[in-house]
Amino acid sequence: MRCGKLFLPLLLSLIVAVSSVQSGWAQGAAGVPPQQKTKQDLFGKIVDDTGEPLPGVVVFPKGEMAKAVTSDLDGNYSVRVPSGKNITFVFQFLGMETQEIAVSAPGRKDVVMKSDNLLEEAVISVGYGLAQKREDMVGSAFQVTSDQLKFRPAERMDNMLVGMVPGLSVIEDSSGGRPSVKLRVRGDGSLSASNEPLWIIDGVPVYNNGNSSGIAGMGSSSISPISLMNPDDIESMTVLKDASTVALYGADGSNGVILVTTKKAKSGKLSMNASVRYGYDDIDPSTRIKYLHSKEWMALAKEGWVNSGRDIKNFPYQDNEYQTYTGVDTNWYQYYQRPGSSMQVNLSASGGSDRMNTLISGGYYRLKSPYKGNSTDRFTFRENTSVKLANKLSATFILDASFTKNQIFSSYSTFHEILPIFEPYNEDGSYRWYNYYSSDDNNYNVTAKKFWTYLDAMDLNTRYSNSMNVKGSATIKYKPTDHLSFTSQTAATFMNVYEAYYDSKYTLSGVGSDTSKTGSSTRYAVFDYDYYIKLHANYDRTFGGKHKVTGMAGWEWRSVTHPYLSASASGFVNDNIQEVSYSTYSDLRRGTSNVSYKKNLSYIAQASYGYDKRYNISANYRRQGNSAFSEYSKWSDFASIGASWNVHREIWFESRYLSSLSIKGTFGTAGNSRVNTSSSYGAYTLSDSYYYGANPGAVQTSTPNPALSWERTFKTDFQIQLGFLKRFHLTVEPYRELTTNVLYNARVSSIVDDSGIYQNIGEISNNGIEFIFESVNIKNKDFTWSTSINGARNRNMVEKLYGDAYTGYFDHIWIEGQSKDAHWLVRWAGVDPVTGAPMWYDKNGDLTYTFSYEDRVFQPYSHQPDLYGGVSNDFTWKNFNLRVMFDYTIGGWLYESVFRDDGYSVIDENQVPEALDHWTTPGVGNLNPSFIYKGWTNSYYNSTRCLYNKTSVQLRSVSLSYSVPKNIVKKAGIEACTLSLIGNNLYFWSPAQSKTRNSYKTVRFGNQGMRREFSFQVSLNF
Amino acid sequence: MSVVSALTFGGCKAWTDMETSLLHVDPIGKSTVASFLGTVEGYQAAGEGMHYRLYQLYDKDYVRYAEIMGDLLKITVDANEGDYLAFNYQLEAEHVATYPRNIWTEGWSAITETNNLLYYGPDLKKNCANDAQKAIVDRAMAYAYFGRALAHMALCNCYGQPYNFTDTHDHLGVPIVDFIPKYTDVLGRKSVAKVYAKIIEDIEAAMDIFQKISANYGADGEKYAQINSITDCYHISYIACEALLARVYLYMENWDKAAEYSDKVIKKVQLSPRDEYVNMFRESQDNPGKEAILRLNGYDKTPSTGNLFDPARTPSFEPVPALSNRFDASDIRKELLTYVGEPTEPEMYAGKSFPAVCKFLYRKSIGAEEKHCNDHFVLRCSEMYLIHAEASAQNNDITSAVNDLKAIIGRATGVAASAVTISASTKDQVLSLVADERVKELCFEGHRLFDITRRKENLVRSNGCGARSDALTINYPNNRFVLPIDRMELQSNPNMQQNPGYQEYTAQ
Repeated sequence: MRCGKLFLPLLLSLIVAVSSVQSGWAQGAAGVPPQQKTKQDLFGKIVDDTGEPLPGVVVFPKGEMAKAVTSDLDGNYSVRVPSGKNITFVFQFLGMETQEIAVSAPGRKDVVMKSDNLLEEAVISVGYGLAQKREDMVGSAFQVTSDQLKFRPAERMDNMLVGMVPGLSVIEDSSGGRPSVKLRVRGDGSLSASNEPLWIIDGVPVYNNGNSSGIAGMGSSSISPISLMNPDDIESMTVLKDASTVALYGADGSNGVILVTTKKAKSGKLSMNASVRYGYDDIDPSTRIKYLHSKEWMALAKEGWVNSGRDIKNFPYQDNEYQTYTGVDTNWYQYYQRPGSSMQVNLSASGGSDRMNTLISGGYYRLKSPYKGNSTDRFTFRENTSVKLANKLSATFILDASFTKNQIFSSYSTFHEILPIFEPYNEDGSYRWYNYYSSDDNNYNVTAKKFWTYLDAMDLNTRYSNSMNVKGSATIKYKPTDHLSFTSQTAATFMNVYEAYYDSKYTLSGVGSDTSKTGSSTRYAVFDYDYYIKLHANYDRTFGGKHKVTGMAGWEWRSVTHPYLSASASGFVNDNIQEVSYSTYSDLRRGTSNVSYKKNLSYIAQASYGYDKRYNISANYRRQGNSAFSEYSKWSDFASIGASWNVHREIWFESRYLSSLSIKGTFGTAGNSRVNTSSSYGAYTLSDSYYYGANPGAVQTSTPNPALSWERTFKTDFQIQLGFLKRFHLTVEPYRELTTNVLYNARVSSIVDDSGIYQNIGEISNNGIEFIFESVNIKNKDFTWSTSINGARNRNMVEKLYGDAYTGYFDHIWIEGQSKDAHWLVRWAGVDPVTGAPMWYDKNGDLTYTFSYEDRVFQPYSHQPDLYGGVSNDFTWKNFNLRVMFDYTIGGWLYESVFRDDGYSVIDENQVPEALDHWTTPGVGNLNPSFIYKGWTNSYYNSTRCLYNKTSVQLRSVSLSYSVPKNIVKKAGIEACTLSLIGNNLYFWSPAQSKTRNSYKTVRFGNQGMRREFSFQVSLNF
Repeated sequence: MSVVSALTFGGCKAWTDMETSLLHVDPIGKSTVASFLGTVEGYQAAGEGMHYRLYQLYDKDYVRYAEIMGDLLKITVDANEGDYLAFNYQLEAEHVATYPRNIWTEGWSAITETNNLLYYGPDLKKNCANDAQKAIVDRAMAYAYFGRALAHMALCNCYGQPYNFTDTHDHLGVPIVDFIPKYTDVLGRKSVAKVYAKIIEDIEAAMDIFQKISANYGADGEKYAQINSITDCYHISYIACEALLARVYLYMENWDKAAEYSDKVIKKVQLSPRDEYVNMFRESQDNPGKEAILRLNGYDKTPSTGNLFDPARTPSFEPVPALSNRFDASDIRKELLTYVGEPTEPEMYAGKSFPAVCKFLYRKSIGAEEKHCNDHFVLRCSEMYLIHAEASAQNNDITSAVNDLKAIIGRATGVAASAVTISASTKDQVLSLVADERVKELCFEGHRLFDITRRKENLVRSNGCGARSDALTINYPNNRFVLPIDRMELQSNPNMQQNPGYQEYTAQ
């Protein structure tokens, strides 16, 4: 990759430049004048890891406890240094790690005390300058750190969260050859509005084009802005789930909020990190849907043909003068999949002084996807600089840029069904465009039939997209007193996706009669200009050592402009010239452009009070105006309250085993503005597709429903945290979320609108429970073993329907008291052993030979798992570290109907091995009905025949890393060196899996199978 | 004090102004229904959009449905499931991906456009600046009345038994929707008698407007109304209204009126001459045909019907072999049953001829691209001759009927009408000849099934057409001659009544 070669030297030179600037700063930067008492004193300020001053820290020379002093209210201390060289001082504070610091001479020494209980003391930011220790938090927030993420596949950061966060499900879909990811926090609360969580990166919301996780390209691809970021830049990801924290995010918070914090510079000498990871990616063949080989298929097809009363003499696929079928057995997977590879190179440097520090990082990621025709090249650059402008004024600047190039081939989705007796290429290596067989039921009469494999399109068509994402953010913080601060953050994000498509004139469709004979080209460009301004004042003070009061008031404005344009042409001289301008026919060059706007204005407030670290209450409020809402509901209010009680801080609390116990509860509202906004007034659309002849044509594309109003979600959340012996922690969190005025594009009579009308149809709840158990099983000098187990269970229910709102889908219906996705199916009763006919149970439970949707009943088989989650184990022995993570699903049923048509389409499509298990002999029962071409027209209709149990375990990630001993690497001028072997998605297990038949294991991954990765990583620290 | 309150007020005002400006967004692209139809340009585009909807109805499903359910096609293995089920009379309410639901939604989508036009038209006309604008609005309203009639008739043909199914005509038709329906409205089916009354009322309303346009708007008047001749067969016209009325009265067996209206059209529109006949189908955009009264413009649209029959792809249907035997050797119409492979086809096709439905194979060169255009005939003058012949024969006016037949047969076989000899002399003989000519003239244009059922005939297919044995003969009367109301409609509309012979829907 030529760009790749240029990119890294460029980055290196930048790092050198930055480091020289930094050293200049460091020389010029003098510290704050010390409050030196005498020349023999050691003095300084003691703070905790959030930077808060720590009063009451005991400081003494080692072994001379009698000389101890304590830090004052501002954390300042001063202690006399006894004469003699290399005295060690001890810093002690309850709940903090004791520190021993060797001092050679008197002078200033500031100390940061670290909590000895990382889990409870971890500081979690919920945005808007609000950061709290986990112990003091009223809300529910779950943090994942960079250390937990570092061995996950580097393609997308949303996919990295799989199995780590209780209640967060990550649904991958790779059926189109380009993986897309859906995230769900605590189930689906909406029907038509987006169910995706809101992403906030370094305080700035990510534009996601209204109602999906992807920014729509205009062509066949969509790019998630989340995939444009280098996961290596992430310091932490925090998932906010309950009302207390989510209410701050107002109209888009109901699906949860994911806060991403990127890495920041550390003061001190320049340090550099470099890592290289190289991986092998492929598809686990055991997870692909199994299809028949040609001999099996041929026998079956003949059987189906004869069983249908047709004469075997007229069987379509007989060897003929144009084509031979005997001996051909094509495995179509190999033409659409391949062994792929991935490479990730990261380089970062950080350093600086008290006054200014900078981190810059660059990354290059390349993926040769195991789905043929797809690849990704991603270049990322990030810079984060903090400057102390004056005593009370500081600023942070973040610049973030990425460039991503994707090669795209949206795989022909039913390639597996191509008959194994066909071949992709002719004998001379050219693409096979025709197969020769008979298509007459009554005569054997060979004709040429077009044969679509799209392999020619994969090779000859051009499909790529270039995405560019640049974000600049400036934060200025003015802190006139220790308790009060004013912060402004201004951010501008520019994003552009450019897609270039060219359909070759030499493919089957290119030369065919239905499209152009001369090549056709389309270019799309989508832009996003996203401006964001946020101002907030924060107050934080502890009175009398016990009364902690915080408050925040803020204002926020966001404006998104989304222009897009496209140009297309056809009629090219050859495939080498693909640009629209060079089309030889000016009347075939067409262009369009359009733009959409969205603006948001909000007022935010938060107040909390904590008493003696024992009792905390907090309240949040947001008032949000949204340009997309119609006049009467333009403004919306969201609020929440919460309280927590740290029982273990009570004086009376004494327990030998229980080291901590706290109880929390929150309640509040959130909204969802991400819906189609033309719904209340209806819409007419003028478009090419509705033109009549050459005249502009317009049709109604949305039927008005002026009574529409917006969804609101009420969230209730309880949490109990238990700590045992400071080594085991259990958090259990039951919750209830109720969405009212649920918006749905509900089916109405087609006389009114055949695609449905947006209505507020009812109320849906999600009730569930989540837990996470973290433990340090063994901890000694050489060996540590820790475990984290999380799990969640969610039950979705339609609580109320405002009218008779049936969905019109055949396997679902909504009625009060059932899940919105409850399976509503006819019960399959197997095969009549005498005739081989399919049988069902009717409504009353009696056997019937007639399939009717009248006989649908609710199934006890829920689509919702009984429990799902992840388990990870971390072992450290000396310099070795081993991590094993898997996720599990227990219970739940998947409806998957594509496989079983009992011979109806056997002449056109390959069959799954299940088709072999069909009835043949009267009196002998079998799993499937008799096998007849064009026979059973309804045996494969929606019935319980097509349910698969979702119980499964997936081995997500195994990594083994080795830190080369420091004394070895030091000689090479390296601080640290780590070598790692990483495997992702190594195995998938389901109880019913079989070598010869399909099971949940093979249908779970759609038409492509599970992608796995093996990689090796070297990371160096200078 | 007043200063303070003025300041406070001013401050508040400034604050709300700021909020308003920070949230203000101009809508672009899509418009609300009311604002879009509140301008003449928008209204005119909606009139074209309504034609587009009618095209969709004809091209996607209506025309092929009437033919697939008929006896003139042979199915191939490449037919999709919906076509296979329709061909074998196996369609059920559950088949929501094909005819039962498709025709329903396409028909009502067209009617939605017509009702919007008729609702917003009168107000818009009041605000028109000049006559030119008023003429545009009037014309689009006339389009809408006609379109509403045509779509109701298409729906009634597919979902209701023919008009003469019962003597009282009170068997089930379709809902009559002459207003903008809300989802809370009761939308139930009306009798066929009422539907036909509404169809006639709408056509007459359209004619009334066309006459006023012709009277009030000078030179533009005739151009817009097309009362005396067809100058733009791709748009609805006064003559199209007369022609549709002729067909409506034919279906109603009102022979006098059928003869009257078809005669009016015949006097104004000529038949396409023999040497232009094939090109009328195969070069439609360049030669829409002298006899065209109303065609739907398929320019640059997905040619759904063409794809169904296209021998260069994988055709789902071919003409039954027995059909070509019905033609004289010299009959020009036979050419439309045979396809000659183009040189780009594979060797076993190029230059060779084989049976194919060629009425929809026209490809238009749009720049370098060749695109199918299925310019469906809604009404053409040949049909008027055959209506006139049938109505005259029913009225025992054998001479008129024979003369009409001679015009059609003479044109097809290349002899003068006066030189055509017709031996038929009794009413039944002439009617049988008319039926035969209707097959030869109008085959594959969306008439066949309805011709069989309105004549109360049995559907009898020839062996070798590929139908299942139980679908070779379908006796009249038969519940399966009409489509079921689809399951989704039944589920979402409690007032909808299923056709007899199909499963009812009962809500849980």
